Formats: sequence, structure tokens, C-alpha cells
Amino acid sequence: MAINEKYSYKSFGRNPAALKTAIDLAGTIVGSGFSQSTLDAHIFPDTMTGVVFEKCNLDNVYIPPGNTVDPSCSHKRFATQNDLEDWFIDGADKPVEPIDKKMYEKLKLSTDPKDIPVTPLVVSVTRARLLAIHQLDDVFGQLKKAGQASVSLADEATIKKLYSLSDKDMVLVKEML
Amino acid sequence: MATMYVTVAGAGDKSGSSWANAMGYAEFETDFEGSAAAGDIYYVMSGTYTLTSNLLSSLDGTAASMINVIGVSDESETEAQGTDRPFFDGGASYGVRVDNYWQWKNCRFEGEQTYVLRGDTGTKVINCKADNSSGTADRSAIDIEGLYSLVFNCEGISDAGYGIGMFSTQGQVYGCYAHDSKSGIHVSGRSSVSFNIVDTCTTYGVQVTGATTEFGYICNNTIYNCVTGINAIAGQAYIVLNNQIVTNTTKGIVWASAIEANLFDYNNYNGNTGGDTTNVTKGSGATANAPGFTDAGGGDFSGVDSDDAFAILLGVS
Repeated sequence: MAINEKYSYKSFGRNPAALKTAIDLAGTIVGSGFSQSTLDAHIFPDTMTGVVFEKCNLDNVYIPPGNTVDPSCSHKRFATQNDLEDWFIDGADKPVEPIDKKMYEKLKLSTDPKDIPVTPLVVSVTRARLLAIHQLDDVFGQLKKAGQASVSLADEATIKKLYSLSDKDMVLVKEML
Repeated sequence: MATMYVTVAGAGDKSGSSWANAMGYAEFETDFEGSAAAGDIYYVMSGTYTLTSNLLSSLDGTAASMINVIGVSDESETEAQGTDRPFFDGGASYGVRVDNYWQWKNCRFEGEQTYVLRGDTGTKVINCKADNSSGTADRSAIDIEGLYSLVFNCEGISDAGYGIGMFSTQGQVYGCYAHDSKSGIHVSGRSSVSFNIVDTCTTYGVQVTGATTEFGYICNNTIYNCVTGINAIAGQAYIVLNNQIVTNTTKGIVWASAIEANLFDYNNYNGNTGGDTTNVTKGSGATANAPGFTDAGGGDFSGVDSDDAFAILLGVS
């Protein structure tokens, strides 16, 4: 099937409006971005059929029946959770794993959906962890220059409160320095 | 140490050994994530590169031999400019993240995730543009998490977050344009913010956090139409000189507490409707001149008045 040059290797995610009424969506569309932040977005004509998508980002995009999404595409559903990070979700809209799972693992954050806070955080869980690491790094660095070997309990308490870290979080942050 | 060539669709055997055998995006991603090594150079041709997963590499360059991704506009490796710069489209779901000692030149990035482009220690980002359109608070366009990093001649936009976020210490943000963000430029301790234009930010033009006991520099910037021009969340030690602090709505400069080590002088304050400073001693060289921008609302900050202290110091007329 011929590659549709007009719609291949392009970015439509931020300006999808024209797609809804397009009459030339046909053939194979390669390497274009269509993803949306709102779930199951209907950005294509409901009557579109016979289009093959390859190497496209179709996350959160509804594809009408009669079209083909090649495995080389990303066609997943995701939503922002109470930890202020985006997670892939299942058909029942339940979080499955964070989109950037490797970042969670690097920061020793739980990737288990049951550990998502029940109320929204003020600062995202990864940002809070990174800020705490940087702040502790600064504190350690200053104490080291001053000839001390450890952070005072008062400093730790300040950082814990500032970034809403648990005792367990604090231990992990210190291990990562 | 290898030189590799990348185009959107690839060519020939897609080994990356030449333009005739350029990698496509899939081959580039595989090499980038699994084989990149100190000294490698990826020449990336103009075009749209659509991410279908996060583009992540945990591999490191070194201070002496970085891993380089360089946008080019033709097979003579002419450095790409403007909209000819290769465009990494993360869409709503993906971003680009690398580890230590990577250099990005002449590329564009868009996304909505926590970061659009993130680097760690020793990152250099030069002549790049990153734009994060997420409505979720505090996401970044250019996001640096490691020491000794440089963001130079770049443009950063993050609707609800940080246009350029230098979250670790000892970083430099130099000659950049950060605008239409929640916070234009965020730096931590011992950092340098110089010769930037920061325009239309809904909280801070330049925000300072981090260490309070070692010096940083905020010099020769134009900070226009933000809520607060420069804000330090604690008593950070900074030298703040020769900045244009203009038409900020709440305050020109706010320091959480005054400390003796700070030096503020030769800044030009004009039209800051809530007042010029809090916990700041302006210095004897401070001025209050109309800046004479050609069309600041349209993003043209040229035309600084020749009798302005800032202009005189810079030799601008």
C-alpha cells in the first residue's frame, strides 16, 4: 500500500482539528504523532477506513473500526494520577505502570499502583524526590566542607517536611547520594 | 567512538555508516539506548522524529569525550537552524532523557510529560528549542538534573512549569530565551544565569533555590512581563548585576531574606507595578529608565536606549 506522504513523518498532536474533516486519509501513514492527553480522543473521521498506521504515536487516540494499527505504533491509554505523573491505564481506566517506569526505578519509587496517593500531591512524586536528593546533596556537601560527616536531624526534618517524604523515603534518598 | 548518520526514514542498509546508509528513527533509537559511547556523534537530518516510547539512554559520555546529537540540514552537515532543526516529537506521552555528558545541538523537542528533554551531569544543550504544553503543574521543557551543565542559545517554553530548569548546582544558562512559562529559568546554587531574555511567565522570570552559602550570578538578563522578575526562595547568595527588570506585575526582585553576601547593582527597574524589590539593597548604580524596547509585546527586545545604564555597560546603542 502506498505511503501517504501528506500525513507521514508529521506532527499532528497539537493541531488535530483538521484531521476530523480530512477526506484524504488513506493508504499507509508512517512515523507521525497524533497522541492526545485526553482519553480516547476522536480526532479522525468516524467514517475513516482502510488506513494502515506504522511507527506512529496514537496514544489516547480512538481509531475507528476498519483501520490497521501496526505493532510498530504506540497505541496505549494513559492518564495523570494523584502522584502528578502519567501512568498507562487499562480498559477500566485503572493505572498499570508509570510511563517512565525506568525513572521511578532509578529514583527507588514504587511502581505499584496501590502506592499512588489517594489525594493529589502538590509536587509530583519524581520532582519531589529529585529536589530532595539535590537538597540533601547540597547539605552533605556543605557539611563535608565544614568537616562534619553527617546531616543533622533538624536538617533531615526540614527536608522531609518540605517534600512530604516519609521516613522510608528519607532512607532511600540518603542511600542514593 | 563512531560517527553515525540519521534520517527520518533511513536509507540503504540503515547501518548509519553514511548518508547513503543512514539509520531511520528505529535504528537510531536502538543504538542510542544500547550502544552510544563516549565520543560518538549522531548527525540527525532535518525532519520529524516521532517517539513511540520514551527515548532514554542510561549510557554516559565523559567530560573529555561527550556523546553528541547534532541536527543538520543537509548532507554536508550544515548545522540546522530554526524550523530546519530536526524535531523530536514526544507528543502527549513521551520524552527524551539521557544520563551523563551528552551534548545536544540544533534540535527541537515537544512533549507534555514531566520533561521534554532531560539530561544529567555535564549535559550541554546548544541551539535547541523545547516546548512542554502540559497543563499539569511543574513539568519542564529543558530539564537538567546534574552538575556542570550548560544550556546555551536555547528556547524553553513550559505552559505550567519550567521553561529551562537547572535543578542541580553549578549550571549555566546563557543566551537563552525562556518565555510563556510558569517559571522561565529555574536554577539552584552556584549557578550562572547570563544574557538571557525571559518574557511572560506566570510566577517567576528567574527562580533561585538550593544552597545558601555559595555564590551564583544573575547578570545581563532582560526579564519582562513576569509576575515576579527574580525570586529567591531563601537567602541564597547571588550577585545580581546589569539586568533589565521591566514590567513585572508583582515585584521586580524578591529575596526571601536579605543576606550580607548578596550584591545587587546596576540593574534597571522600570514599570514593576507592585514595586521594584523586597529584601534587596539596589545599589548606587541602579536606574529606573524606560527600556526602549522596539516591541517587547511582540518579542522584539532590541532598541535599548543609549542613555540607559544597562546599554552603556553593554556597549549597546
